[in-house]
Amino acid sequence: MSGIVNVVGETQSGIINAQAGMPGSIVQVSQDTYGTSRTDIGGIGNGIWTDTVVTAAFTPTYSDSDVIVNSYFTAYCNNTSGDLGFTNRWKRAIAGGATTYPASMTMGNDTNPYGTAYYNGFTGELHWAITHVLIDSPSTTSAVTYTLQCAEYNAEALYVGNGQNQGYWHIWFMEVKR
Amino acid sequence: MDTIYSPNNRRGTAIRELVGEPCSYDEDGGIIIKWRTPEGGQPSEADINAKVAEYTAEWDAQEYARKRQAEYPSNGDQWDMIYKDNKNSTTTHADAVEAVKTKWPKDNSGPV
Repeated sequence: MSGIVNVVGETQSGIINAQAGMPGSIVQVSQDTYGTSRTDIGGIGNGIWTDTVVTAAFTPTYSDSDVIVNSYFTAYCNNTSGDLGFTNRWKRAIAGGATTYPASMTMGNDTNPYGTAYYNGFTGELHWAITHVLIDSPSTTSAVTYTLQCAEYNAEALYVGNGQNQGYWHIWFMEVKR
Repeated sequence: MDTIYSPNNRRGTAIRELVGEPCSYDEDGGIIIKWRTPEGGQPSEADINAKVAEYTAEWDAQEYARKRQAEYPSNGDQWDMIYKDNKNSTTTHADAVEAVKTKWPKDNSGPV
């Protein structure tokens, strides 16, 4: 048999035609949220989680869906001495509900805030282009706002979002029925 | 001059110096759109621009130093020149350094 078979056994032409609401089906894909902004957290203090401009909201259709969060952003550092680093996590705020920090969307901790990037004995400018593809299970049909947080380590200058003030950051979501 | 005053970082350095304490803010298109540390001082765009102009003048005045730094022989080569000059009574090290200094005068009129 050729072609791609959907979840109800029908042969399709080039697409997966999963029935909406079936386990594993893609329920919805959001539009891209993007920005040309950035947040400066350089020198704010080691391990202090700070919200960034990289944020977007998504409303799941089903409370038992998984949400795949796709994000692209850049970071720019500048040091005159010593080592530097930073790490990230995502804040999940449910409208009318709790604000939490899912483990599945956490890259490092505030006691060792260099889980995402670290350079030893570096002076000068550094640029990072970072992509996150993460999964969350918010268990709600209310709007969920995801916000990228950053914690720095000895960074005299650290900009997160569009980094060196050139280009864009992006977020888009995909809901998958569990 | 420290890279903290380099063109890419001048504005952030100016803001941090004017605030005078750790601060965080969002900006878009070179304009502050939100202060994440509102308890600190919030300098105006005019104050920020004035400080940036000050840094720019300092940075531009040091253009000759950056040119010289890029063209001086490596530390290893210079130590080798000094060793050989002492041994052979030559002036290769002084000549090499002087050539760079002459090429890039302190008034930034180089290359000469």
